[in-house]
Amino acid sequence: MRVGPRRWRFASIGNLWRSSLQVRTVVITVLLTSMAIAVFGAVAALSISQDLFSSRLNQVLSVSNRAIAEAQSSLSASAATDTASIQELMNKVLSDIEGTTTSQKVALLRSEKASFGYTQDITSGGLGLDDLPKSLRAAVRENSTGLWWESVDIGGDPAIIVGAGLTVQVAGLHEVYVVFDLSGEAQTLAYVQQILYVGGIALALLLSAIMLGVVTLVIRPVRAVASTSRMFAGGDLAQRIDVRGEDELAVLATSFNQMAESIQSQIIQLETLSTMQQRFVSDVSHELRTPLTTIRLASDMIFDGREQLDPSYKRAVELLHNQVDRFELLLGDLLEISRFDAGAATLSATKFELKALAKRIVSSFLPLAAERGSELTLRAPRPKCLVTADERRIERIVRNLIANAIEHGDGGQIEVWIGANRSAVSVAVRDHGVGIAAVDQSRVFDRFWRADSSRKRTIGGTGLGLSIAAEDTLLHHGALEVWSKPGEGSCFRLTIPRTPDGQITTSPLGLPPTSPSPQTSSIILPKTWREESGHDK
Amino acid sequence: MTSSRMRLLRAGQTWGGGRARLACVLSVVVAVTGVLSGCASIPTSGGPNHVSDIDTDATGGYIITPAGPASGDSQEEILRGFIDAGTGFSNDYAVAREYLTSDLKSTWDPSASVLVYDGQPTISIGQDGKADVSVSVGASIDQDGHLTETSTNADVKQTFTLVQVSGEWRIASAPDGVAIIRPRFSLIYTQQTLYFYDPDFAFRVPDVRWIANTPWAATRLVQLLLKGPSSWLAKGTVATAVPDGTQLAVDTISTSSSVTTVELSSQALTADARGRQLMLLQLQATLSGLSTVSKVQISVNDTVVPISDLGSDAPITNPSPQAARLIVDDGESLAYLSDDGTTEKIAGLADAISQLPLTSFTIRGSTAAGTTAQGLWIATGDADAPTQLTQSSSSGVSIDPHGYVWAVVGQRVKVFGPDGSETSVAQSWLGDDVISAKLSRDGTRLAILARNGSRVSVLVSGLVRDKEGKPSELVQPLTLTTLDRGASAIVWSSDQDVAILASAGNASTVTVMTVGGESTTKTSTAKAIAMTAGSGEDSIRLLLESGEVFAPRGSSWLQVATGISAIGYSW
Repeated sequence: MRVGPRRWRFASIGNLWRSSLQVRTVVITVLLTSMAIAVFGAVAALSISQDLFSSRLNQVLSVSNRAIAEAQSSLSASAATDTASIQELMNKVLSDIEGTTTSQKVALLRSEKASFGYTQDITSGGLGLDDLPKSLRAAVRENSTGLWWESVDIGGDPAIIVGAGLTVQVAGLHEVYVVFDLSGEAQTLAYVQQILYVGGIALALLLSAIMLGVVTLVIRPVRAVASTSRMFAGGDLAQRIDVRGEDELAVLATSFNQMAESIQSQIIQLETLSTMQQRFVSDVSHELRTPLTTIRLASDMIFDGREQLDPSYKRAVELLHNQVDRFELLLGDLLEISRFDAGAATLSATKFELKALAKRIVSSFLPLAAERGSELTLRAPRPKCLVTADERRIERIVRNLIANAIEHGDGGQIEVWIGANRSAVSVAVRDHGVGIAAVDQSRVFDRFWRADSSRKRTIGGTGLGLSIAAEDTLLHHGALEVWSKPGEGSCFRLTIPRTPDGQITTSPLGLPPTSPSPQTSSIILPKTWREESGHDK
Repeated sequence: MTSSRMRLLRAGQTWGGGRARLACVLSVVVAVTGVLSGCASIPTSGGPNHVSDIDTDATGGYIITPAGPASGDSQEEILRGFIDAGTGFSNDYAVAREYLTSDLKSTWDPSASVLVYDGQPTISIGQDGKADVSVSVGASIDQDGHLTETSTNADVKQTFTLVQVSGEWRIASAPDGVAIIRPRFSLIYTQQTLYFYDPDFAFRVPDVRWIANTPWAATRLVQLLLKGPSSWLAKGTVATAVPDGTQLAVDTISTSSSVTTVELSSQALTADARGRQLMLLQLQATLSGLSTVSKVQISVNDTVVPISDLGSDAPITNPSPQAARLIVDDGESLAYLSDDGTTEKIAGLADAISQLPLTSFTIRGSTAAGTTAQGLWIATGDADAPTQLTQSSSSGVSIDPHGYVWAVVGQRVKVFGPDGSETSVAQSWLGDDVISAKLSRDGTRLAILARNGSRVSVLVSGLVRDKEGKPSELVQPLTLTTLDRGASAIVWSSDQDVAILASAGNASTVTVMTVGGESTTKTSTAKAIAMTAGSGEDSIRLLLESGEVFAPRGSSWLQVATGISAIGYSW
């Protein structure tokens, strides 16, 4: 329940992302500049911290070096041999180191090699022995020449402890540790980091605001172009863009307007031409109709009396009669086509049962199929396939498809499939003939197109059948699709919505349909007209 | 429719891939940023780091580390080891103390004396752990660094006691002090000079000491300086600018950036401005003998005392005859003799005494003095003729900075005031057996050759003056050495060296001795009757009976003039 609105919100954000260049640009700019600023800030903070630390370290080491060298020099030059004067010496060395290093925390400790009884561990400034890292003491004990240093945390503040060995005459080897406070550096670093954070965020916000402004400035004319072109594409060819200024966007608008102008004039020209052609075809068909009727009457008369004619004329009369029939069919088809072209074709939808129609058509084709040696079968589901459509046009489509299948089926089996689902019904005609080459499949619905120009039309097709079928399908908002593989035959599938204003979600049949399938639950055997139980159990 | 769905789906996938990539880039950036900002802090941990060795100022000096006792060492090995360990002064002779029993360890005083011996010690182990060690001592140094040479090596016998401690022989009783074999002594010990002043602070007076060339040599020198002059220079002979009771605040002197800081106790501040300048000069002069010291400053209570330079007002070091010009008496007049043999007659004051048959003479300022077999003459100012001060046979005349004339008159040292009156100077320890005597140029010390039985003693005595500068007493002298009979003359060749002329048969030798130091001997070609010296050994001139003047050239002598009857240096 919670997923729904959330998903919707995501969807809406995704939608906004996809649809708005402005949102995308601003978001990407903000993200990338933030990243760049963050990386820059981090690098800057890092280098500042390293620089702060290393410069302090250098200073610390240099001053420690000096202090410890002086201390060692004092100790080397010492002529003290008794405890009191050695203690005085150590006091002086401690205060000298404090003075030179200006550190308040110094430790002067006995090493393991110190002689017994002369000195004691001294620390100043509240420095505890526990504050000295064991690792540093171990290192100094291991190698008492040179300086050792280690970063430590003393009382929550960063510090550097410098350690070294000091050789004291008579009293032996001692260790000296000097603590240098780095809290000042830490504060400086914190301050710098704060400035970097605030500055970085402010910069990112500023850049975003600038980007938003700039993108809005650029996007407004682009939106105008987009909305104009949408309206233009929607058929409002008079739409034009207001041209302002002389910049690139103005050039775009001008070019768009020129293109629109050119397209508008060409479309008008083509429309005019097309209308003229359609009217010409329509006019020609109508004009041919009257003489053809007369010719037909005369031809019928002659044909009826052909027995009285000389056999040589008789043959001619028969030919004439056949060709007049064909001419009439062709003319009819042409008129039909011209009606489609003129947009005069209308749907007279009635509710009918598709299976009954299919049975009727199939049975009418049985003799022809038998004549061609093809076995014609109808496969339909058991439930009724009620559909609201123009029955005459559907019948014409299916007849056309079956006739084509018989003609191109090469005597193979021909299957007529019926399928139905909630949204659509479907009729598919499958043959097992030579098939159609892939390059030709897109052209099968072209007018007067034939796959093999050398092939004769035997069933008397006009070459307009599939075109008319396609137009009829379009009228139903349906789909007429072709599948073919050379050598395996072809399949034409008609899918129309159950009602003329319905929507097809999926076609109930596959392309080509496969059997058996749960939807195709019964097989009709045409020879016996017996409905046979299929897969239902 | 399907294809459009497909396209839509693919677009979604593409966008999904882009989102994944973006997320990937974002996470990398976030991670990098996180790591970077994590590093962006002052470190508070991390192991110890080593940096190069500390560049300590060179302290100079030698550290000799002798071997300690080994287990199972015999008594003789223990004794030899202990004597050898006399060079190991590190950590207050820690190695030598290892040879001692724990009782003796704390009471044995190694600083009491240093015996410089030649050859190997002879050891004889006696009963009850007693052992006698006999060494041939060439010189000895006392606690304060005074070196006494023994002209002929004397065997010194020392007695030790050895006991067994946990099965090992240890020394239970030993004389204080250490013994060092001469080659090692030459390596370790150096002759250094403490500087004091004459009572008028007009001259620096050297006081030679011998100290070990250790890293703490400077500390030791300053300690000796603060302790005061040698006993034969005490009682007013010399003065020190260091206020009474001034000590080193700490028993060390630190040198950093080639500046040596002498940390003194607060008594040092009781000196006035000039006193502080003189005190600093005294320290600088004393420490200048060490190669490690270049600049000295005085500090009291951790604060450097600002002291300006004395400049031309400074006391004179090593006063020497003016321009080091040799004057000869060629029988007619006194003349300067140049190194190339040319002479230049001296007019004025010198003429007053030039007519005398001089045996020795000296000219200082506006006073000229000369001795003959018949007496002592003096000429002052622009006097044409000299005044005779005494009619006894005189020799070895010198004039001190206050104008007093010193000479050996009839085997006694006599002093005459600038007015010609004899001044009595207490010299009870000195009898009528003075062969030759010469006052140092600073007027603080008298070098004396005196008969001592069958031998001749070389003595240096401090001179005490009253407030007006009048000589009042010659204090108990320092005996430099004793020589065979034949020593005939002594002169100062510098502020701390004396040259002694000794003749035996037809040959003479010149011995140069440092007061408080070692001596070197030069042989001459023929018997000399008189000697004079300017500044340094090279300025020594010998006069032969034949009237020839010889000067040293390397190790031999070279004739520089002839027909001379007396020689001396001008002031």
